Amino acid sequence: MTRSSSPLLPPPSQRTPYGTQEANMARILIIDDDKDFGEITVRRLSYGGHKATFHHGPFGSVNAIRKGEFELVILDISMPALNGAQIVQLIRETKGLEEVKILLYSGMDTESLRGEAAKLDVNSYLSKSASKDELLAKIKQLLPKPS
Amino acid sequence: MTAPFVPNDILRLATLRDLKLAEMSHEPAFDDLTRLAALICDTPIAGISFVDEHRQWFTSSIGLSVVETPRENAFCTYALLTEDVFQVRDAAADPRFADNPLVASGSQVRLYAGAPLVSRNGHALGALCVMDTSPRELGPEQVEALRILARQAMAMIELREALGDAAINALERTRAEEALLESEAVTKSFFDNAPMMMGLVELDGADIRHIADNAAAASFFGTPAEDMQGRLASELGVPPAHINLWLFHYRESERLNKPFRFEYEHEAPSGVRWMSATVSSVASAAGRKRRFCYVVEDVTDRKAMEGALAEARDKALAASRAKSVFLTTMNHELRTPLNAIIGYSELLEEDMTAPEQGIYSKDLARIKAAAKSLLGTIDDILDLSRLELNKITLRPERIDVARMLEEAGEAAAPFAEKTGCKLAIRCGEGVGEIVADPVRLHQCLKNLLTNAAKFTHNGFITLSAERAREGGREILRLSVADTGIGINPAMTDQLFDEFSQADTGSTRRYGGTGLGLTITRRLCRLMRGSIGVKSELGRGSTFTITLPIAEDSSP
Repeated sequence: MTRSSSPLLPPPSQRTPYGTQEANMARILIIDDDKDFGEITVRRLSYGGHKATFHHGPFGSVNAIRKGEFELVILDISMPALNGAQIVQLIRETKGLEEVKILLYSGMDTESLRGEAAKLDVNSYLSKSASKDELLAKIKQLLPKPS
Repeated sequence: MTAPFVPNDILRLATLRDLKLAEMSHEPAFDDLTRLAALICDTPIAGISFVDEHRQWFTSSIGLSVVETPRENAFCTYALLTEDVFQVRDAAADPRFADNPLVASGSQVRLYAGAPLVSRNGHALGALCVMDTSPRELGPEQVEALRILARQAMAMIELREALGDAAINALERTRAEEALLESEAVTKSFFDNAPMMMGLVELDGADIRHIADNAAAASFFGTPAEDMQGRLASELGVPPAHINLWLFHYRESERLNKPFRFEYEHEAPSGVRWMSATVSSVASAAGRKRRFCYVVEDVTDRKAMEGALAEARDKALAASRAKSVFLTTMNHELRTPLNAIIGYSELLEEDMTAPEQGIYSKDLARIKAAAKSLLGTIDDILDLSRLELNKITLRPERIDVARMLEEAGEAAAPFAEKTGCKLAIRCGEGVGEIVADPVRLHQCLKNLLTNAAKFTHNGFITLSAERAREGGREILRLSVADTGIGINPAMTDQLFDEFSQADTGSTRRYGGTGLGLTITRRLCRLMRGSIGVKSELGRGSTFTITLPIAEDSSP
């Protein structure tokens, strides 16, 4: 099992309703210990023209964020090895990462997710059962393009 | 005839008052004198009477049915005037007394002989008299006897007055003593019959001396209470360790100057018993050893019950914790694959753009819908469990009501479309904002809208909002009206209960867990609101949520 950052290949079809990839090139890191869902997220984002990087599991994620100069971290907080609160704290306490946007993205039900988000220093939250369009709308809200 | 004038009447009346004769109605002390007079004079009637300004009254009499007569016509008055024995041989023949009720009727008195009762200061106050029903005269010895008896009666009256206060005081003292004895008897009866062991002790070096013990304590020691008096605890078979325990607590109660409670184990032949004891030092006379009272109760049964209760509570808490852990785990384990199913279905849908793939995309949409429906059921079960465990936290915000209605309408649109329903939104003028939890309120509205869609085919669903005043507070009414199958009025009460759709058969026909309305009602209550329904079979239903406009926690 590798824990290094490994960008997944984009899906075969690159049809996007949001214009060209380059125009929307936000630097997004997905941290999830569920490889399948990581892939789903990468591909969901690709439909919005985002080229996201997937980081499997919590370990090494802080280094990955720093190295990749990511603007947004999409973080699954229901990873058993390291809880969401610890990762968020770790990110926030790392010099240079205070401003990185964090979106909690979890399979938790809404009630739990709202509760967690309220406790943590994060920018927003979304349930994994939300549709692709809801996810893209959330990204757009968090990373407004400079006009 | 009018009453004859009695000289010195004012002073005489004062003497009557001083001797407290007016208050004297029947005086048993005179009865012997009266009887003696009747015996000596051989008359059926005898009496001692007094006269004041209005009446004559007898304080002792035999053979008379009246105890009081008017002063007029009273024989006695003449005896007062005579200041010696006054005798009438035949009253019926005497015009002074012919009208006297004792003569004319009643006792038919003929002979009257009365010796005046003269006080030490010389006032004739009344008379000791005898009467007979036939005319006759008393002999000189009998007359002299009347004089003597009258003096005796007067002496008794004056002696009684002189002794008065002292005698009454003595009587009162006796009564107080009796009351004290009675109160002592009550206390003793309480002490003897109290179901708890109790008693009074003195500390005697390293031992405890029993002064008094009640029956319950005596039976515990197996020694009659009177035999325990003055004996040491060690002599009564109390083990040294227990004597030390008691000594310690007696001294603590003295030091802290308040009752001291403690529990200890007692090894009875039948097994170990738990005892609860309270000791307290009691006020004692100066120079006397300090005394203590003790009360002991066997609390073995209570302790056993407390233990059982604590165990049951621990078990219940553990079960509740286990339930919470299970719910969390199950929630995660069910959601992870479902989210993957939904996610992949979506990706596939997105990627299948070739016209020949159209048949698959319809199937994919069905897979996605089924997975989402399953996820919804999991959410419902979880919500209900949380509501039951009181684990839902409301996060109130300012909400624009019109926008909230739009969003709920959008969320429910696919469901309405599926059953061919038209969905309309009506937001009254100036409905404005409400402070509430947007997620939960949205959930309630969506529940009502999807329900309406489920039970309405090719009809109309209206979502509306209006402000109103109810019971002095501002409220918001949110209604979902449909033109669907309606609800049997008999069923509307249980509609909001767990797992019940109005018709149990309808679960199979219309699907759903029947949890939606239960959750909605509970959420409404959590938001300090309520929900109600009006319905007519075959014509439709209207569900109405009522919420207070402003939460207390509003910013």
